[in-house]
Amino acid sequence: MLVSLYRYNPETDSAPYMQDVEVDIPEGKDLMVLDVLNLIKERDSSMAYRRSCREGVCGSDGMNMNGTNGLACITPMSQVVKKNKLVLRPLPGLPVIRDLVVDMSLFYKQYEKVMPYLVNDTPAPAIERLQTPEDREKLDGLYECILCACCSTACPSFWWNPDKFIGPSGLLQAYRFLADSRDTAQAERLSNLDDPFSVFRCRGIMNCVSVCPKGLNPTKAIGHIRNLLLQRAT
Amino acid sequence: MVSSVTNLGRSGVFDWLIQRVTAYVLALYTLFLLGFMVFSDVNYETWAALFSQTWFRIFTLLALLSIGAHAWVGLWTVTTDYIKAMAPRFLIQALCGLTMFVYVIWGIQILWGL
Amino acid sequence: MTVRAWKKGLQKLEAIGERVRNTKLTDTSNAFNTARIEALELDNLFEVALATAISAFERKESRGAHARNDFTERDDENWLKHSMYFPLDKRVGKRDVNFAPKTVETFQPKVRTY
Repeated sequence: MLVSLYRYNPETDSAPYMQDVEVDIPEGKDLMVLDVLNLIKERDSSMAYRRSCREGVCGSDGMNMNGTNGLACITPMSQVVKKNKLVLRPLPGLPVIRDLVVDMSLFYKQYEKVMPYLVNDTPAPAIERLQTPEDREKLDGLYECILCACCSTACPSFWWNPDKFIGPSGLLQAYRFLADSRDTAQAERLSNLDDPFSVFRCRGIMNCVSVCPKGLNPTKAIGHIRNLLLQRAT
Repeated sequence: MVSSVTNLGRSGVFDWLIQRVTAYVLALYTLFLLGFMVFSDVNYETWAALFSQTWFRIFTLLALLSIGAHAWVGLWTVTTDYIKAMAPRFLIQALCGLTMFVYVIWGIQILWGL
Repeated sequence: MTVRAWKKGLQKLEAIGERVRNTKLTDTSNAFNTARIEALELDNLFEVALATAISAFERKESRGAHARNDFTERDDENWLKHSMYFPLDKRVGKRDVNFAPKTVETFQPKVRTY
């Protein structure tokens, strides 16, 4: 089958181009996109892409496969191939370093902005800081984010303002700490988010929900943040 | 915290709230006018009678101001998304603001026959 | 018998080692060169595989996950030690285990019967 790869080497190419490669897929096997990439790399070692765990937990191999963002290692070919063709492109909106490798700095900067760590300066108790099972349940669907950037790079609002809009992933993480019963900095976190750009560029496009490889729902989290901001302000 | 001076309200929540509240006002006004046009004779007398009532003039002015606010927030969002260079963006935002201002003053003039 | 099987395995490993020493990079660019990283990793993987194979052969006992058919029992007298592998001469040495108590009494080694 035909695989069309996005190629760009800043040292030798003046512009990116698509390279078509014929790949023989063994009969009867449903390979993952990452497996096919590895096959291609065996023949052409200059094909660059990030990968690590090969089981969908590290978030390294986020890429755009036939128009949809996802993790290459857990996306079976049968799910993405259309008319016997697979088009692989890097995550949209971020600068390309080489082939399918993008510069994640903008994404990480927005993540750091939301203070993604527990803030609790009260004296440490003798055992752990306790939390009821009900409070712990509030973190389900929030802590599982693997920072793969599939959601933020699928969001048009993030494309237009990646330095000002925090993006679905950052906001999901922001809410993960806003909702944590052990955190004491809720007021400060909300003040930090209350401007026309950080949260409110979200227009409910919901591309993020549709592409998240871990099945998370950033739009819902953003709705919760909006409610918290409203409660605080009205 | 991202600072912004060309948006309308004093915070992100404020702008968001303005959009929703003005949307309700405009929806109500539109429904009322539609209802008026469907359920009563529309001729010069009835139209003039409607617009001579103070409560309706105030309602209309409210709708006008709502259009102004709603459009300012909406167009501000669009220009900050798509126009990256500061000079053209600020120019267009200023033009929008000016247009809203003209409509509001003109509307007041029409409503109160000034 | 383990010795024969091990020697055969070591031969195969060293044949791979020859091939590893003759690897060449076709992609020599400096922009995120994953081929170069993988080549370096290959070198390291081979060194570790060789170290593992030789050290495992020298440790003539069974201890936990290190299990062999020709020495089925644990030998605390000779092998309650860390193995030290010296890659330059492919030699295996021993080093004492640190039993100095930190905050609890030392637990004396005894036979594991579950």
